[in-house]
Amino acid sequence: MASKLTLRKQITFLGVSLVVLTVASLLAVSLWKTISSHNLQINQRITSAENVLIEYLQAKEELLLTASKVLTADFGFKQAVASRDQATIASVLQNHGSRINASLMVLSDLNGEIISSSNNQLTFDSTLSQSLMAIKQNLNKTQLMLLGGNLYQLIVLPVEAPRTIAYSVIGFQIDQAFVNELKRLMTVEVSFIYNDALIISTLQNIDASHKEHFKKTDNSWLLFERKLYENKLITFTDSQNHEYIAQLSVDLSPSYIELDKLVAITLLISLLIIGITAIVCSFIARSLTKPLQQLTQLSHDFARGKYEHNSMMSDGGVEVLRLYTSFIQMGKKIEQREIKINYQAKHDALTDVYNRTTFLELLAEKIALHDHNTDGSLLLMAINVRNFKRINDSLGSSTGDLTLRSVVERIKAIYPEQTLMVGRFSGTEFWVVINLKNNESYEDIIEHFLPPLRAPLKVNKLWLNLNYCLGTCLFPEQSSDVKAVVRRTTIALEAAKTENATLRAYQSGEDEAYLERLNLLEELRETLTRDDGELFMVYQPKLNLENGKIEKVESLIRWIKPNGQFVSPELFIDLAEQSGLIIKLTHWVIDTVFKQQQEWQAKNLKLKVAINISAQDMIHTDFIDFVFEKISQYHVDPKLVTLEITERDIMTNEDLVISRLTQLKQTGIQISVDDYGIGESSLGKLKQLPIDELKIDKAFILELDTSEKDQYIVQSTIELSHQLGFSVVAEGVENKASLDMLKAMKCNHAQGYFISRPIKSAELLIWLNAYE
Amino acid sequence: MINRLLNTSSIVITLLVLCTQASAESFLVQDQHGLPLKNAVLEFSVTNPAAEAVSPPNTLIMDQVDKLFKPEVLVIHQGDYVNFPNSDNIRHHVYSFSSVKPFELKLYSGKSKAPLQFDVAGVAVLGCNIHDSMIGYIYIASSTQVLMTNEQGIARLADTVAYDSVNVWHASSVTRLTNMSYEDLSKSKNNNGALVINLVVEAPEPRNTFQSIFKKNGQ
Repeated sequence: MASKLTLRKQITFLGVSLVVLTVASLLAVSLWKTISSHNLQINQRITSAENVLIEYLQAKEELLLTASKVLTADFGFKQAVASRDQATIASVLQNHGSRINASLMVLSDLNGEIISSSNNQLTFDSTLSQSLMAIKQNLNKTQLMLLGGNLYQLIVLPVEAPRTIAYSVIGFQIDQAFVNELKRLMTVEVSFIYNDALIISTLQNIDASHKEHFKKTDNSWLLFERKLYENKLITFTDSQNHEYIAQLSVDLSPSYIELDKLVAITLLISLLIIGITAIVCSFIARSLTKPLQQLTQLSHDFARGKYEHNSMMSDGGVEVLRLYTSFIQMGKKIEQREIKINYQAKHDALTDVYNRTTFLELLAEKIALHDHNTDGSLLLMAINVRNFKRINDSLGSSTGDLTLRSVVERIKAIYPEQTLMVGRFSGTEFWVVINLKNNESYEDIIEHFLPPLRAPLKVNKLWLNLNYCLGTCLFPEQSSDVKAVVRRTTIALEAAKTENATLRAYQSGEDEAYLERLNLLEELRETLTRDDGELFMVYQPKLNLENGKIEKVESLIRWIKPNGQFVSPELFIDLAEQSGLIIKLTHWVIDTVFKQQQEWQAKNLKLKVAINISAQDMIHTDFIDFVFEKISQYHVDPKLVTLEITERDIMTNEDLVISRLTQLKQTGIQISVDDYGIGESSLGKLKQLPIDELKIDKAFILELDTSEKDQYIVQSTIELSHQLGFSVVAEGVENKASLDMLKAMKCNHAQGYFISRPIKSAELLIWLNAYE
Repeated sequence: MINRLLNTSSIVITLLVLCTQASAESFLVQDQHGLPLKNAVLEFSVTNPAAEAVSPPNTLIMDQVDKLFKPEVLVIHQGDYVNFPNSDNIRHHVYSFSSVKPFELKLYSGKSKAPLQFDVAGVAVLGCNIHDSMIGYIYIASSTQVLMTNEQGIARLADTVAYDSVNVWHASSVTRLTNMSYEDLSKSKNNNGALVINLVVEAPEPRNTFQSIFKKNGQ
């Protein structure tokens, strides 16, 4: 049941509806039974009343018959009739009539003419003779007949002397006394009706409207109309086919009163039961749902991390208790797991020391709580295990793991009491906080820290000599801010790494330089976005040593801040490479150079321009598309574009870079290897590279004229290149001797201050004009 | 009795006088259903009554046998006497309220009463006050020519008798007395040569059978 009702309401509803259903069914059945038995009773009453009526009329008939027979058999009467002795006839009729208390005694001749009658009014009734003539057809039988507005039960017998000479008619009037007697015997109301007209009835005051009266209904039951009377019609047909109806009517209103009483009482009891059920169900539901509420509360507590519960359930059955117990157990298990997960979340799985996040959080707490007056200084130390990769590679990662654990154990063991915490920041980088005692100095600590750390380490029966880099920063002496302390320690460690030193303490000002670099980077980002001339390109011509012409230039970026400060390209390009901004920077360079080439082209100046590309640019997915897009945008001939990439950069992701370079080369773009000779590349690599040009690093050229070794290197490189099909550029040519020497060595191009320093486009045009 | 009447002296005279009329005639009296009616009385008005001989009054017998009048219908002539002998061994109280001859005779077995003279023409209906079922008729004829049908409803008239019309009486006839002219009669000859007289009779009245209407209707 997808109901939004509460369980309690549902149970109450269920209980109440069951009871309502039961009570309603019982009520319906009992009502139905009562009503049908009531109806049966009424029908029985009517049937018995009907029988009584018939019996009564029969008895009356017998009486009339007997009296008639006695009358008509009387010889004296016959004689009187035969002789039309009126007085005698009348007296005989009177006499016999009074014997059976007959209401009507009539003697008529064979034609229906009245000879004598006990009722004077009838004597002159014209319809009477017709009626009597009709009765003749039904001799010896009583029948109902309306005479002079009164209803009679009549019998007609012939007066035979010995042939019929007259008819005697004897009858009882069906009057009020008659019907009242009937009612007394039948216990139902009786009415006699002829031609829809009420003749007589035991009911009073219903003469005109008797039909409506008997059809009256009771409206006390709103939906049902109940008859007030149950009627039964009994039809008597006389010899003229007149229909006389005796209507038996049972007044139902007394039984309705009884029935209504019964229904009212039953309904009252039903309502009482329903009410009691509602209360009981509600009570049961409450006792059932209360434990559920408690369990709900319990789960809310669990959600808040409150797992301690000792109070027992106040209510509920065995099942609920079981559920409660398993809830509590679940809480305990969750708590245990939570502790474990918490621990794992805060600790390094391998070495069981804090992880970086937790370490820094705890450090922040410690520093916040540090009292400079009473607590000793804190020495923050970042320790990097150098060349650990070699151990991992040669001895296996399990040994490597053991080694790291041993290192941690050793770090902890050096100052077991003063070491506040140890953390692992990365694979081989551990951080330590050592609390200095008040009388201790930084040097004291370091003096006793390094020797045991560097002592040979026994791992799996192997003695390992590990090298470390340590960066330190002292709190609060070197910084009182937690972020700064961490940053400065990092700077010290980085310095130690770059300086290849074992220990490097933070030196004041380093942090500022670091921050300055960050600022510079931010400025570069902004100026790149603004593109307002702070950044600009300069071009250094390359001299073709064979024909003495200037065909190529190398584009170089320059940054001069609005205050005139020149920012070293090495510095900001290095920063850009570190921060990834180099992509955007190179895009700017390509865009600017191509635009420049378009301008030159417009002045009919065709110069090959070399652009320096970093490894990050080459690897970037959009690079090639960007170059092609810009080439088509500025209508630059790809043959006039040379991309310079250092040997070292090619080697960072050799396969990808080579495939990209090949792709670029296919469009006509030339590839040049920059700074050749100082990288780590082997000669063997050269043959695989899709390059057109080799640039011999200026380290070999600057002192070419004086250094014999350089001459050999340059000479052989040029020869090698030529044999491999590359052209050669020498950069850093600063004197004529060197230039001549290169010319003699058949170097293809030369570049250097001797020829021209890098200059802006406008100057270049002037310079080119002057050169020619 | 008729035969006797015919066989008397008058027969010769009749034969002599009424020679103009047709030969012997037979009459068939039947009811509305075509059934022959016995005990129907045919009284002819003779064409020439002057020729009729006056006979002396006779004494006839209306006996009571087995609580019945015997004969049921007795035809006599005006002025004849009737004796009521009572052949039963029980008592009868014979009466007549008929205007032709009202009387009352208490007849005891073996004790005969004096014969009664019937001198007014007409029909006397006889009853017994003790036995309601007993009913008898005495037809007092004024004409000399009077016949009564036999069991087959047939009556024969000597061919010497000439008549103008005939009065037909039957106890059950609706019309007590039916007068028919000679012309009318002669048209109704049937295949056998009999003159047919049709009477409408009532069904006999039920006697001593009592039914209850209420018993019927009530069920």
